[in-house]
Amino acid sequence: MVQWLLPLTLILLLVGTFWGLLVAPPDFRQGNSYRIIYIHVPAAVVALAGYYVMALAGAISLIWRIKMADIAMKAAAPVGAVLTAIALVTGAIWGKPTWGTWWVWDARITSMLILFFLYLGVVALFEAYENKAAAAKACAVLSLVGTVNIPIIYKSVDWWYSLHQPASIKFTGESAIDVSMMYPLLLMIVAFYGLFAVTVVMNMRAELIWHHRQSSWVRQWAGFE
Amino acid sequence: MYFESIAAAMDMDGHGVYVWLAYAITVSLLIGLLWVPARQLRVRKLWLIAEEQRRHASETPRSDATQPQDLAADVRSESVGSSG
Repeated sequence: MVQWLLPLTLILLLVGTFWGLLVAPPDFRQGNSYRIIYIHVPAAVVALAGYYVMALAGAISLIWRIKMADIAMKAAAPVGAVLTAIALVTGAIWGKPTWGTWWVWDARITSMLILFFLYLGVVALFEAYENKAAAAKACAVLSLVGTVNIPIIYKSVDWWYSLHQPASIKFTGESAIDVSMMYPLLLMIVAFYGLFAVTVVMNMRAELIWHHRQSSWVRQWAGFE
Repeated sequence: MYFESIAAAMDMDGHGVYVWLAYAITVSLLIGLLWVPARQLRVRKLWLIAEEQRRHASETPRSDATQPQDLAADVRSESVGSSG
């Protein structure tokens, strides 16, 4: 899967970045600073979706005790943390020329910061236990409790009026963004989903190979049999 | 192409610093995200190969026992995953 998805993802990222940075027109109000949208929004969207993936793996781990779910949860947490960090950092950089400040304690940004800590909490909790099954259980509970934060993040810009702009792309109704800006954005969102899948699968593979280092398929992978 | 020159694309009417900084940070973080598991896979493969050679060396102690063990020592000095 990685063999074809990784090159495809990298091509999409390159095309989307080129398109968004150099081809798309500037925003009539924000000028060129808006070009940060092409990394900020995809990172945030996939950070939120990735949390659901992690929490779903946590639920499967709790209910059916499937070891693969533990491994998926452990693989997704650091990727989600990095994507959330990207959304926060690029948002701060975008805020400076647009709002005149790097940071405001509004609902959207604060709930994203909580998401970052939730991801870090899962990463840390996995390392805190000697017993792997106990670690997976604690992480699954934390992931599931944390899902309450996700709809808050989604709705924060509608519930609380703040500096952060509301969503530009809508599934129902007309989007508040021109197609010349929307196509590269959609492309980048797809590319970030691809990147999430590739990195999670690579993390899972590294973990599985270590777990099953005595088994014949790992020996085959290393080229012995 | 929106910009007329490379200089204009760098400057972006004064916003270039912010935009390029945001992209530079993102690219380096994404490279890190891919690099960590790629390195882990490589190190673990080397460990497995060294382990295999160690096993062979202990089975036939007299035939070139030094060379595989040297390789194994090289690999062991690299970290092979903290917790496993």
